[in-house]
Amino acid sequence: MSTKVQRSVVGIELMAGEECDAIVSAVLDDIPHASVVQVPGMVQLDVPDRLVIHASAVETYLGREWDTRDLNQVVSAYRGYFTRWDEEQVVLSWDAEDRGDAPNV
Amino acid sequence: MKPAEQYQRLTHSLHWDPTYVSEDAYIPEEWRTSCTMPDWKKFNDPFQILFEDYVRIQAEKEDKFHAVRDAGARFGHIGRVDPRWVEAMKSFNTALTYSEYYNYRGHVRVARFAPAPAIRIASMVQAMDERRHAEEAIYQARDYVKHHKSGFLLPRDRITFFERHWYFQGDRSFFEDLITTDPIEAIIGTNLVFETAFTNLLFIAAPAAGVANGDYGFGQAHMTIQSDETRHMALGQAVARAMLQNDDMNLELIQDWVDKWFWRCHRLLLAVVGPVLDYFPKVKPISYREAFQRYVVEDFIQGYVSELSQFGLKPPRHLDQALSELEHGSHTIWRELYASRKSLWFDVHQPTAEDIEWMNEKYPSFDAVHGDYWRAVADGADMQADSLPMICDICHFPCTFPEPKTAVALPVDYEGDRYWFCSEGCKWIFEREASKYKRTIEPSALLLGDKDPAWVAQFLNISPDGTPLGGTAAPEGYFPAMPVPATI
Ligand SMILES: [Fe+2]
Ligand SMILES: [Fe+2]
Repeated sequence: MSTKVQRSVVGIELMAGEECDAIVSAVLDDIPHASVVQVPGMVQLDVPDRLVIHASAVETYLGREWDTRDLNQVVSAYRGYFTRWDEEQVVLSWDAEDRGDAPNV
Repeated sequence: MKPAEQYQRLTHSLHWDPTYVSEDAYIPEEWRTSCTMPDWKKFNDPFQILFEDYVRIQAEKEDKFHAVRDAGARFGHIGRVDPRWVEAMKSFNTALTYSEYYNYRGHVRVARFAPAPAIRIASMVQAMDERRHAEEAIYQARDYVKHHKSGFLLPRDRITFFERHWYFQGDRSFFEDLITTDPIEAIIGTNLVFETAFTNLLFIAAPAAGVANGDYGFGQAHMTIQSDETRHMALGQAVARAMLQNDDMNLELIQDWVDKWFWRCHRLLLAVVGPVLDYFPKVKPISYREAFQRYVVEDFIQGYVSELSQFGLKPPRHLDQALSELEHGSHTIWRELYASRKSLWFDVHQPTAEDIEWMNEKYPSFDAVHGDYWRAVADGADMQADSLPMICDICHFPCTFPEPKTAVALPVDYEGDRYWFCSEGCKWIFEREASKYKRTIEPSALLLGDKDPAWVAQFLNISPDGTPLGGTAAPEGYFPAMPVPATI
């Protein structure tokens, strides 16, 4: 639980579709208790403290290459700070210094 | 070259300090920020978007939007949008078209006058976004005109309503205020407060309602608009953080700007978006109060504001007043609209039994406060207002909050004139910068009070049966204080 904020939940709201499904599946692999709520046209994904989207996991679900910059196509709202957004990881966290997960070896 | 290096090259190295002209000539004093930073050049936009990526991503967003529009025309979805929702669009789409265009103008100005190269580039990109948003709203209006049997509005009617009708002067004055501020105030007001806390109500909650009522084009347009908003929010959060972190002197200014724009956003959205969630749609996926709780209270106040409290930022000074207005706000404004429905160009319906059941479920004191009003209407009472509502001199919405029976109107005397305010929040904003907000045009109640009905009808662009007169011709003797630019 991050002590930096009163309500330590981060999350994204995504336009429903293939990319959304792949991102949600990738996140659920890491955080099985994430909250996933369907609303008309959209999916709201909320998790405690921090959320890391690994491009490689999204690619596995999509079955094709996926450029993390294209996340901007489908994310409509978010809570938390984007503290990292590069080729490998997109990190959403209430800790402004959060630099993401250690690389998989 | 790595994207981060490329970003540095294409952002920071495109900036230069003027040497042929003085700084005063380069940035006139009234456009120079009062905030301070040890080194503005060190500030970085978290998104660090490269222009070539921007163009590619935005082109794809546009392709997807136009594909949905095309499908809507081809398969007839647009014609089948629920008529009540199209009435919402006669109000909301008109407000949005010009609001987005104002935002475009505002960001072009920030791109020119902001002190940090990274803010200037991000604002330039944002100006292009805002322009796109205005254009999407216009495409949507065109689709309703062409494919829906609701008598949608033509551009000349839309601009006339926006420029003159009392219901839109709140929206108009909000944006005229926003685009004439200190450039860092513009970022705090737009990117931190309006876009981080409030645009989710416009572009997520409202499209959910649109989709639920068959308007897929609206859903698609607004979700892609909101996807641009993610970049804007990140800029606002980064600017606020950098100002607070780097110089204690900035705290008071940032706090004042957060307080001011929080109240202005609250009033504008309650009055314009409240009805779009709670009244117009037949199928209502989320109430205004629930959406406010999720996006404004949980995300903005309990998230961003509480994170920034480590640097001394406090919750907005009129937060409690805003919260206490939510129970009655949208019902109060709907009653105000209902009473002046003869001078409105969209249909203000009497809530159905189903609507009332939903209200009672979402707003527990609805029946106690508004039940009798609608029972009287059901029994045949006319409820027509015989005069225009008394308007607040800051927000330009009627002095009717928190609800008609306990409405507040607070006076302030300034330079020989008496001003009236709907709330402590609006009064505080006026007193902080009275010279900016002093009256330059008669409020519509006075302007129209002694005029003959034909003059009033032409001014409001509404014939007695409620259809637009179809023109921007102003009646004799009317000069707008600041005409809305007719570029779009
Ligand atoms: Fe916009
Ligand atoms: Fe007001």
